[in-house]
Amino acid sequence: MPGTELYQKEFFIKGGDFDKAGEVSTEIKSILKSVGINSDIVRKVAIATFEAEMNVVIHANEGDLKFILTPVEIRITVKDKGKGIEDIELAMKEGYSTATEEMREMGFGAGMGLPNIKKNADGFELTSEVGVGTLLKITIRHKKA
Amino acid sequence: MDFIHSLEIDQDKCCGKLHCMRVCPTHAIRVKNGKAVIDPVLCIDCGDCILACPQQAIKSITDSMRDLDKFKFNVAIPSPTLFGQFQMDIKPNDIVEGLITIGFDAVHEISVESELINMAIRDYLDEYKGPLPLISSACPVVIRLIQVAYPNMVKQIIPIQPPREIAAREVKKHYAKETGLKESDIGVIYLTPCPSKMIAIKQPAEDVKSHLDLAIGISEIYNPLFSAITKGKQNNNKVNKQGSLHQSRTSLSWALTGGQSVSIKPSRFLTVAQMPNIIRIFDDIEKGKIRDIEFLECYACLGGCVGGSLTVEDTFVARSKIQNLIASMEDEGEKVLEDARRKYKKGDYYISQQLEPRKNPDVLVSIEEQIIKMKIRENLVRKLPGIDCGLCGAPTCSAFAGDVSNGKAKVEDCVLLSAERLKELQDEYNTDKK
Repeated sequence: MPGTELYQKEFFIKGGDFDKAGEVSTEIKSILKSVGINSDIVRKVAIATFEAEMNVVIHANEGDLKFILTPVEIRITVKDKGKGIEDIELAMKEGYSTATEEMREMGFGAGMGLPNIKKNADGFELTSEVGVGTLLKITIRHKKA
Repeated sequence: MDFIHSLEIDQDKCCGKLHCMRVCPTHAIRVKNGKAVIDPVLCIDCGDCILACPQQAIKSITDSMRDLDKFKFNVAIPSPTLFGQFQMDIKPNDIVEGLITIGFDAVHEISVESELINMAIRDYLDEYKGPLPLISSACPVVIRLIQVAYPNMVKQIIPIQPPREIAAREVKKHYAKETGLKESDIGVIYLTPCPSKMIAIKQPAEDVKSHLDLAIGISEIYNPLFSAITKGKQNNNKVNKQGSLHQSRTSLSWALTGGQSVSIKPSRFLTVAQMPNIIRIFDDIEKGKIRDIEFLECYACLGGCVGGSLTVEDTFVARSKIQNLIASMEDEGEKVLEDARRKYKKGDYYISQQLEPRKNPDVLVSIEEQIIKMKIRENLVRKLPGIDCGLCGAPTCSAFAGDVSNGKAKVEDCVLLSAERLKELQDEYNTDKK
């Protein structure tokens, strides 16, 4: 069954915690490697998850990342509580960022996060409510249909 | 495929003290029945275990001077690190003469070849369009680490041969012609600072045959070479030496961390040394965190090749000596450069076969089966103490859980889950008799 969940795991991401930032994507990467997913797919998932995780760290108060593996695809859902995105179309533009000067000095907020996620994903869905939070759903296929 | 290695554990000396297992960067070592065992698929010949062993039970095997008898004419290709191993009044020419005295028929310094490879890498950087950073292929341990643990980065390794291979190819032809001997009678011997370069010669990562015949550790020849040099200087001997010694800044600086970046001059570069640092940077590359770097230079050893486990001089002292040699070079190595520019043939320096990731037999089953194994691992990890004591014989609790899921260990091997195991270990390590 293509839709069956073979495996799932949930992770909590704390906003502003740059020390731990990247740990979730590292763990997901090692899970995918250990179950023998093709290395090009692992790379895509690692990049997309890292960017999504960083978005929560940079822009939100907190978030949950849900990782699901099915026989054909990897689903990542990130739901955060935070300021939300005012203009999604604008946010998707390469180089556009609302990160503070301080964040940029730390090397974050280059405005490449969301475009990068989209580039690496097969399915991409982004919804947001200003002042409440953002929901990002991506899928990456690991087996040809 | 069977992997050969340069490391050998002396089973009589090994008393299972776990030090090697704890430092192994690829978790290739397990301690079973009080003895360390290396998994040949995971071992990348970094040699960290050699240094960690309190019993000196792990040795690196390289060839020896006796092996020169296999050939009728022997040419030494010294690693540039050799020139930083002696006191400053011993000049590179003295070292070359010493090598002839101890039994080599000729010595070839890889200066022109280093310039050629330098140019080839620069051309490759200019034309490359794939994911960045590109990773230097200078350190064989780094190539093997990528093949074992970072399969999707294999494509980022610069597929260009090291200078020693290009040199060996040419040297063989040259001396066969000059002596009238067959190429197979000409032995080309690399004087290596580390065991991993010996493995790179015995079993190149791209699975082809090396142009070099032997690799002898610098520490293996150090004593005879040193006494030959001092005697030669006392008697003011002029050995009738064959071969050329035109050193280049490039070849010397490649013995040091950062040396390649200085000579290749990529737009943005990064230099890393030692396994834990390399692993951290590789993890960042894998998740796309490092993307504004064009060229990545990594060395398993502190300070670069001068820190190799088969060198004799202290890493930092050797580094300073090489830097002094570079600074005191009379010209800018212009003659060598000119020679290299004349010889350079674009496209002639690629490795002849693509690099491939190493296949681990444990992950060659279906995703479904892997997930069953993973669930076993996760359930077990929850029960395990998470203190990574290593008494089960695996380096971490999670590595132990992995072993159990692969049928290579039993849950009862954990001392905190089994009182019997503790008793067993007390007997094994004789703790009650001490």
